[in-house]
Amino acid sequence: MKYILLGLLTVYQKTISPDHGWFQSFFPYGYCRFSPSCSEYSFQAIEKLGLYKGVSASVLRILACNPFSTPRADHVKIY
Amino acid sequence: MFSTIYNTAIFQPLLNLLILLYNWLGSDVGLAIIAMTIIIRLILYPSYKHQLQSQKKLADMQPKLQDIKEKFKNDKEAQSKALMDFYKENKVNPFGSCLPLIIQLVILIGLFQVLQLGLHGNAIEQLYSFISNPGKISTRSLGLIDLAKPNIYLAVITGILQFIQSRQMIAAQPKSKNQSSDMSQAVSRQMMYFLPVMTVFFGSTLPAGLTLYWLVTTVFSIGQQYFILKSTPPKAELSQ
Repeated sequence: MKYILLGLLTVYQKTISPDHGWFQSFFPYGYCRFSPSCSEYSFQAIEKLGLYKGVSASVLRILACNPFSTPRADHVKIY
Repeated sequence: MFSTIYNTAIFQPLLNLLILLYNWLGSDVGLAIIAMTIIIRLILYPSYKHQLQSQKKLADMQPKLQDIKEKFKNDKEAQSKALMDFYKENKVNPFGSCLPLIIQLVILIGLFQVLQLGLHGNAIEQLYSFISNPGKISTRSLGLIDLAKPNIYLAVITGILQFIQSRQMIAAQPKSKNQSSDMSQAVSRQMMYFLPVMTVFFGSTLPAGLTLYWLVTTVFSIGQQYFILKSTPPKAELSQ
């Protein structure tokens, strides 16, 4: 399951991701307001924290990535 | 669990909205899809508006940004910090955000399913009690197009509109002279041709109802970009 998710994330990044995929040239400043981008964060989180913690961290991160939050660097924390 | 949430939060509301509009608009699925698309886009309007305005402002600030990049050329970290400060000072935000993007993706998937099932008159048991059951749904729109089948004409029109939209988006982008942005402008141009081709390809294989949705969304985007880019003052006041 973990590797399926990581694979899906990679496919997403290689294709429709506005930060890493075909459309990145449309967003010269990057799309995601956080650094690393949400998909990259999710990838690292799932890889380092495992399935459950990783997915929860990713969901929280995406919820935080809304138009009302301040852009900033936000790396995966290892517990 | 996820499928239940998805069903109650996305699929059912979309299905009911479509059937409601279908009942109201003289049992024409085409008109119902057009109306539904416009409603969805109006709901998403604020998030697009904000982003387009920021893009426009940033294009005007490009020289200043180049200066900052040049100044901290050898220190990536200091550079990004300086850029962040600059954005903050001038109250622009060059970034989108992922939540609206994901919401849109999920809506698109939901819409896909609704059009697939709804057009074939299935999933009627999922209607809310206050929405009357229209019985068998006629997939013919305006007496012309069968929206349950692929339609090459709609696909081609959508492709052309997609091209116009991408070109408009690229024209609004900052032009600068360094090499890496030359690269990315070349890629942009490639995408400008690639996207419409993809649209025609998918449009000519998927049910025309979906292509119609895409067509209306694209028209909406073109109008939105046109008005927002026009109404934002050309030179933003720069502090510093």
